[in-house]
Amino acid sequence: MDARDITGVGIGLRREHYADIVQCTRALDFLEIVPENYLDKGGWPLQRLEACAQRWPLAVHGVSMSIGGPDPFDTRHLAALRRLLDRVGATRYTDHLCYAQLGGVAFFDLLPLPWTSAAARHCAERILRLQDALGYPVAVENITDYARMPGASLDEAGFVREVVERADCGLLLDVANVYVNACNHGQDPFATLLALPIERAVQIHLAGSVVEDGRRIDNHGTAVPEPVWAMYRAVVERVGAVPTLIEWDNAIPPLDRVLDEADRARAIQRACAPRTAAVA
Amino acid sequence: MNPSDALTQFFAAMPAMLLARTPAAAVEARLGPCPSGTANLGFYATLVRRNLDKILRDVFPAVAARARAQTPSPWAAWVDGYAAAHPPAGIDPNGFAAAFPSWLADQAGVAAALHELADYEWLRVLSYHAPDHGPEPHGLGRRLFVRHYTDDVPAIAAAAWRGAPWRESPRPTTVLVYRHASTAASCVHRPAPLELVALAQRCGTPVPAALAALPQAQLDAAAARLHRRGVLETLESNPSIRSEP
Repeated sequence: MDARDITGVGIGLRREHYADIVQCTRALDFLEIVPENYLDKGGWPLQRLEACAQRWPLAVHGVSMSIGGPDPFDTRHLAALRRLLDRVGATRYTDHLCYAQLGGVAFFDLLPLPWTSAAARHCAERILRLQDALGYPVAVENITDYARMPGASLDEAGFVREVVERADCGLLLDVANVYVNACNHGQDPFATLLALPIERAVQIHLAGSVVEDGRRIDNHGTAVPEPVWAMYRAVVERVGAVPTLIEWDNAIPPLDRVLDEADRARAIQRACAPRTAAVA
Repeated sequence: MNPSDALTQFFAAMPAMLLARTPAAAVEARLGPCPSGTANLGFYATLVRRNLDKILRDVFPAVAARARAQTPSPWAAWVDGYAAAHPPAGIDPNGFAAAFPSWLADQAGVAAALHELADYEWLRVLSYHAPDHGPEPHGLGRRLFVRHYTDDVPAIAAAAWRGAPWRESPRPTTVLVYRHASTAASCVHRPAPLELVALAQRCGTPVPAALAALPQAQLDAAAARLHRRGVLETLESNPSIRSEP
């Protein structure tokens, strides 16, 4: 399939919406998929994916690459991922700035590294290796962290900046994650947000979160909170209408409700993007 | 300490804590204090534990419902025991669940209906997501499975998914668990004996001579029923299969 860049505002392709999505008549600019749901698989999910790929550009966003981890990349996984990227016409691969496996053990979570220059160099080298193996540009997402790891010598923004500058790669800017981290660590969310290398943002994520036992948890199970919308507006004012995704992965509501959130993001893009930026 | 060595030490120290085998304080003793406090560092073990619990609940909803309804519930001990015996690996969360039915079958005091239910729920997931094509005739062992259960496990599962009270139905049941060859829906079928013979014949599985000698017209009719139910693939649903005799 021919490669198509994503623009505007999209949503995640989720099983709960398989039946409705292909009949969707509302504005929807792209879909994001989690490749692990489709690699080496078939059946109805793959049929839906192919139907969607005919209609929308797809962003491919992985959760298992363990870019920050020590385990060698699985060459079989990389080959399958590359085939999927080709098949759906993706233009880049995104994953998280974290580790997810250690010594072959998978934790099925996005785990923070100690924020040091050594860890940043390690991540940047792995990103470059991954790009070479896939033959696609790679962008990395800033994650949530509920604890700063022992030994950290940088702050979050400094760590993320060092990684993406060393790797000369894009940033998938998760505004909701910045908000969660700021809440949990008593920081000013706008200050953290604007200290990140937002000029490298190639995609933005927005999502909901909940407070549990005093912690704000990034659960992707609610509407986007108002403070996150305000932060999003601040980003769009500075970097323009970067393609934006509404993430809603738990307690998934009807498709229309998710698209309402996408409409709101699109309205902010239209209202706030600098005139020179392309607005979908 | 060399910064790279510090990262290596970090990776060495974390797995035991993440799998709740050592406390967060032990990590701090090796790596230094967590700036966010010991409890927040230890919260990551809670998150990993939740993930593993959720994977098993999602793949085995009826088994989990049954276990969680018991007093005391064995569910938490099962999750922990299973994760200890089969540490999660790979990129597919469902893969973590693969060995759970056989592990459950080995646990003392677990009723046959329950581990057979786990097997049934796993086969539904496995067949639903199976690759579209493979070397197996008609996807046997990939998108199509034959089981003989000691209970009517599909009926037990259906009741559990509806939230109905648990009721074992000790009735030996042979079932085909499969993904429909055309619609890709998850299906279950209780085959007639002739259908089992026809299935074995189509899949190249040896059958006793007495059964192989059944009238071919009857076996063809049985095979036609299996085609209509989406058990057997057709040239239309899988162009790579050989045409039927």
